Amino acid sequence: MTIEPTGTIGRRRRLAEAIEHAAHLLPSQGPIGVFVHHNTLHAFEHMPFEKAVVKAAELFAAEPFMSEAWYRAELRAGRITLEDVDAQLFEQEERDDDMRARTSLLAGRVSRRGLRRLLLLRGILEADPASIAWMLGEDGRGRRFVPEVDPESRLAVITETTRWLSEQVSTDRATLEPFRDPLGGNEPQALVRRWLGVQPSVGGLRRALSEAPEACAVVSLWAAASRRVAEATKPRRTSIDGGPVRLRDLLLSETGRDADDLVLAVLAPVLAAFLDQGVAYWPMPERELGLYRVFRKLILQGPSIPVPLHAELRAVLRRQAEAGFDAEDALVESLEVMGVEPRAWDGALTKLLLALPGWAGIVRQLEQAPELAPHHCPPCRLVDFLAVRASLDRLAAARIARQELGYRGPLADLARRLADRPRRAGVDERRATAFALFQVAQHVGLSAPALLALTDRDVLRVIDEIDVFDDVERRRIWHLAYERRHRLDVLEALAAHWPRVEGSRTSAAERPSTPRLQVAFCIDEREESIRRHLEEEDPDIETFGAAGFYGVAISYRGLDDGAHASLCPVAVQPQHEIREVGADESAVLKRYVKRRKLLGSLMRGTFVGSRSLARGWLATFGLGLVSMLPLAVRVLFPRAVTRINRRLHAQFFPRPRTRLAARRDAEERGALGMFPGFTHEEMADRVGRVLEDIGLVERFAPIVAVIGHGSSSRNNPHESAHDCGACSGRRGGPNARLLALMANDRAVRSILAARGIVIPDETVLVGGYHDTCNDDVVLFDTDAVPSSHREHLEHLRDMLDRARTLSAHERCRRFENVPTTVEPQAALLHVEGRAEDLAEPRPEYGHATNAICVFGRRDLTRGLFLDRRAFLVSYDPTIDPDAEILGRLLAAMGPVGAGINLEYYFSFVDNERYGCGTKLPHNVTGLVGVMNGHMSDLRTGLPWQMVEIHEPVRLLVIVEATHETIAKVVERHPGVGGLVANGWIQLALVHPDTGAITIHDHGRFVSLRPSRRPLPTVERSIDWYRGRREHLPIAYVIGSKGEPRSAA
Amino acid sequence: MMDSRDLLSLLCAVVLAAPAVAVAVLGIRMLWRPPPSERFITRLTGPSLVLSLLCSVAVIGGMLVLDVDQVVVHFGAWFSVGAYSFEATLLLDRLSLPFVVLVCALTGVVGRFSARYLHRDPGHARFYLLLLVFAAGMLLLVMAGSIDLLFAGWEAVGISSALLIAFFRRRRDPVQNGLRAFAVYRVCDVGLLVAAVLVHHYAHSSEFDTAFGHGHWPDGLAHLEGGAATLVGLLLVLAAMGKSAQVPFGGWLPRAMEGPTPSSAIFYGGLSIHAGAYLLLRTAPVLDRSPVAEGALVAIGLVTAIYATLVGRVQADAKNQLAYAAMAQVGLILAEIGLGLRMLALVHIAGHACVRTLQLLRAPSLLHEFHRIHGAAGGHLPETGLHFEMLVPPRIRHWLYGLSLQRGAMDAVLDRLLVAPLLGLASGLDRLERRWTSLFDPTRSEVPEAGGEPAPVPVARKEVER
Repeated sequence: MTIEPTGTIGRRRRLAEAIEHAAHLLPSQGPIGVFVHHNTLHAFEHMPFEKAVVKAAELFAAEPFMSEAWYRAELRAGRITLEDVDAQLFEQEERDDDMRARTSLLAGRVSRRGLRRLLLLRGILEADPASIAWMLGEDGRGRRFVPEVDPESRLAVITETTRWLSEQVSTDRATLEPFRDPLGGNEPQALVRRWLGVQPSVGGLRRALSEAPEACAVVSLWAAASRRVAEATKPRRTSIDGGPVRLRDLLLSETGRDADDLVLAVLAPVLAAFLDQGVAYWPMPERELGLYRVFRKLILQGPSIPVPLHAELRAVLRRQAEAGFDAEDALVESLEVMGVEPRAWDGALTKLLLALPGWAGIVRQLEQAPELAPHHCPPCRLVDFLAVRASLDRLAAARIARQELGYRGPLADLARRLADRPRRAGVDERRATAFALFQVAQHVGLSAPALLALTDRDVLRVIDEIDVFDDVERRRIWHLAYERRHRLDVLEALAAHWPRVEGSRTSAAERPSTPRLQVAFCIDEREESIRRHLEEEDPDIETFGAAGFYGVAISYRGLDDGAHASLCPVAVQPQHEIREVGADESAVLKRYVKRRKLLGSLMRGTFVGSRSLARGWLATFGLGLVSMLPLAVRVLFPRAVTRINRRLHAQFFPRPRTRLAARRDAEERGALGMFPGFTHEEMADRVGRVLEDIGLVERFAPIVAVIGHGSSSRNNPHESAHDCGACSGRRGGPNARLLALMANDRAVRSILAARGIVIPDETVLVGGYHDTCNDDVVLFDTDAVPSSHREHLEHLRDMLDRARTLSAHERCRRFENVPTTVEPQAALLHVEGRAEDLAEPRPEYGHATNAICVFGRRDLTRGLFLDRRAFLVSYDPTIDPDAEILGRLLAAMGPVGAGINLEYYFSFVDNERYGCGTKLPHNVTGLVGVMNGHMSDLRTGLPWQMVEIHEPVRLLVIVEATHETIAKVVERHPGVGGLVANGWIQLALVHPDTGAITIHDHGRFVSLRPSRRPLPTVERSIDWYRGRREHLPIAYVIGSKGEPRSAA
Repeated sequence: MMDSRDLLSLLCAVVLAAPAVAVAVLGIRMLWRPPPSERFITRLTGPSLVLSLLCSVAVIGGMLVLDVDQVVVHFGAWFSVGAYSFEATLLLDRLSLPFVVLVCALTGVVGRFSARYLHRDPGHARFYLLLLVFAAGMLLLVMAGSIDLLFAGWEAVGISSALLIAFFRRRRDPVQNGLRAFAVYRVCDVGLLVAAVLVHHYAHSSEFDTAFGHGHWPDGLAHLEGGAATLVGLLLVLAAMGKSAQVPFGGWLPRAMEGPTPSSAIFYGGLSIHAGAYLLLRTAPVLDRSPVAEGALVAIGLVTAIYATLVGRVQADAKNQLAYAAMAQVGLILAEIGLGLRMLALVHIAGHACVRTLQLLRAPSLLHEFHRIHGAAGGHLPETGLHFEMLVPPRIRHWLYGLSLQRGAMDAVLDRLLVAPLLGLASGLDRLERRWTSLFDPTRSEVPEAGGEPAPVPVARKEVER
């Protein structure tokens, strides 16, 4: 092995390009403390969904759809109907222009659609050739009909075959030709003797025909299928498709040893320590050198130890150090040693990165956005990672080649030799084809003589049709049928609801009135239930949905926070910083800060001390037994712990009064490069925009509450995944608080009034925060609410309290370990305990139920039980003639909703590859992610416990708009257009005036066929969901439209 | 009318029988479909462990009231061969009772924890079966009146431990790591087994209250003398080194974190890791007679403590950190036993078990805790390891850091020094035997080779599905 001189500039550029190309496939999940949902297959969004999932599945060795068995179970459960399957098959056929293929019958018996229907619904068994031999022979499938075959076909096949065989036997030239089975590996004699159980003689066959006509028919049918396929097609042998690029793959298939295991053992601890955010007692020294250099330094300055690869690694790294290599040089060297030509770099680096996608992904994320690191970011470069990875890769391959194959030559030659090596000849693949043909023939009533009578072209056509409609294609059709049922159920319910919508709009236009309270929530589908319950509790309440950062993109630092954090969508870079400060310089504040500091150092001291030697001795010997108390109480009485904690906190850490430092007069930026607060102009911009977005520009209630949301759970590394998506995986309370503060400012109101939005003096805005895990709701700055509004405020409190209780109750129906008979008050107590429970891997189900997203006025959906499945974006088409508002709403929330929905889709469909598997063995590492157990790749995506009740459907986006409006939006916002055109979201429109519903279908809009099904109607939500755990159909809840019930 | 001592004996028997019966019931129920419901399992596990706990507390109360130091329950001999007889005897005294209570309490708490943690997991029933096997095994281990019976409990603990590490059996890593832990256990169990045989040989009994001396724990006096005591003592130390993850066998401990969090907590934070320490406490009278064994124990304990501290300090993840912290404290505990500080060790074990179990159970809240600390401390994490940086020159520091990052290469050393020669020897013997037998078999002309080269790691790599 020689060391090449440093690469030329051209080669370095080529390398950088190759890395860029490879990197775009890496998961784009940042450190897990701020979990931002995004489309797992973001890199494929330029392709149509149905093609992209298949392509990605090949690349990542993942599943594109659910399994056929799963969809069949959904069919049995009634979630998919036969009508859906037929409609999908029909639609697929409509797309095919080949009229002949559509109309002519296959084998003279069955249309192509019929064949597909049969393959879908009855299903045929598929297996590898060896298993097929077993199934036919030992398992008896070669002697009996498939159970699903209908009786007529069965009878027809038996009759025809018996007649035919009897004729054959009765002639003088009786042969065993009907039992010749070229693909099954059976001699005709053996077939007759073993499968039919008779002597291969005329007498024996006669006996078989009279005693077991079914066996005769089936065995000869198999033989016929076997012969027809053997005659019509050429032999195919098993081979490895595409040719693996990595030496590791070749060696794995050759020796059964995985080089990646050796690599991981060396690499994972180094990466964990390099990226660590302060967990380890000793931080890695000299991390500022970058991963490659520090790795080299540590290995060279560390001891020589007998760990596999260590000695070789030291030799290679020493040479590289002496030659003054940087990461690029080292990577090029490794690629050359492994015999990868520069033109193959793209593919090779892709494979190399995807071998440990989690670790590579986090390095990439921190390279692009170092500010994502919770504490301090070491200099991350993907090329560093690759340099280390590739060195280890080649050494591991060399080691395995040496140990297993005794090969000591250059690796480049080894790759070529292994790739060229002829594979062992497998069993003829055509047996699988014959097996499929055999089963199809049974279903369509094609007997052995009939099969033998077909022309070769006919046989080939049938085989082709079976081949084309393969496993992936069948699952695709199943999936489309599965989505269709959901889509139609939702849209038909909306259509059935329309007369009521119209009615309420007419009456509202006739008698305009101001509601008693108006409450805005995040669009989050988890807020759907609390909104509905609010409206049910007091029909005089109006609710709205806006993106949970409420239009104020800020970098925020609360009194309890260690640092600033962006509270706005990830795509936005906040320009303003907001701090929470003490309302006055009181002693309470000083004491609070001091005590918290003390608490902080105490906690830190316990954490570190209990893990060290001497202090650990003291801690475990002296205080050990005491910890039995928290252990037992925490596990046995989680709710009590919540209560005690809250009480202790209130006792020892009485929170001082605070305010947000929102106002700014100066023009210069602060220390963080951001403006410290907003000017009145800026405030008015933001308030006006949000009010316009949600369509609240008149009829202001005396109190308008704005509620942000987040989620807290104790023992949950994925805690942040439940926070507000519009606040980049953080909690949106401060945004709501800030919006209310700004909208209450007199100066802001007068600017707004000049722009046409008149907030009357009698209206007060109140900010609040909803914890979706324990269903706590707090209101901010209520001391600033004038005394004239006390009564309204109390009413708001009271209503929120009732609504959150009912919402908690509704959530609890999904938790299998809560009895369905639980009372609302008990349910609230349960969710409070659940959030604090160390033993609870599903503190909440998060977005698991998301499926729908509605852009429109609330009255479109008000009164509908949407089962916490719908993002509800308030949008008023009547104040948006140019589709300006809709454009910005769709552009901002379309991708966010789609990202959440698709992340759930992929994590559900293939939880091991796209998700992070079960939570139970997860191990938080370095505060950046989770591993399985003591050492593994970093696991990205969602854990099974979060997604287990999800229905994998693409987000059904329903917009209250006309075709013309949406056309304008799509034109102006190509991002949204792409999502729709490529089918990453489903789109349906509700006409604002007529309520006519149209569904987007490959570039055109199709009207929803009217359905006469009435909506189920219930008095209250609780009547509909109580006692049921499954996803519920949409129902009409009378309660929220009735007369105001509350007396006051 | 039942004698109060009989009642005590009965209570002792119930302590052990409750989880054992639960194992039998659950095990038999799992033989047919559909698998037992979570409700059934909870209703079986909870009461059996609570019953055990209550009975053990009652035994303590009874002993205090009756003012007895120990209760010995004889169930008679299982079988006798010549002079040997396998006595089924339970011994409850000042050593075993704290352990019994600890075992019942911790298993009970973790059992309760797991009902929610493993809710809806496909392996729910299997987990509980193994947890109950572990509880029964651990109770047998600490209540055993003879070294033979202790061995039975020891093995039950070992097998349930290995199977729980491999709990996620569809992935390859857990299975490999479970197998590795199992292999280490087996090697070190040789120590216990040979020690048991030798005790029989020298003392003609394996009862703790006869073979290991007169007088009640902790003041027993062993019957063994000089060389015999040293030999038996060293073998017992070997046995303890495996279960309690001491240098050089401790490499399996971090790997054991592959299982679900609660099993990691109860086994490697709480109980199983202390089984070796219990064994040494129980047989302390033998160690007393042998300064060599005691010296070896102290040395091993201290080396482990230092090793685990060094390695633990570079770990950046929740569970490895706790694994090495536990290893370090157990090292100290063994050193305490070697120094004869038995009561101290006993208290240390109990405290350590509680702390680690709690810490491992809440390992997933690492992020949450750091966030809170960070906020409370006002935006910075107090740095650690500074005195080390000031005191040690960089070169040595880097050297130590590099060593610790690769976990001191303990597994690799073990593979090279122990596994490879053993495998080499085994395949050599295999070849020899084949050659030898082929001499008598004229039809066989060729000698088929058994394995190829000895693999560096003794785990199945190819067979397990991914």
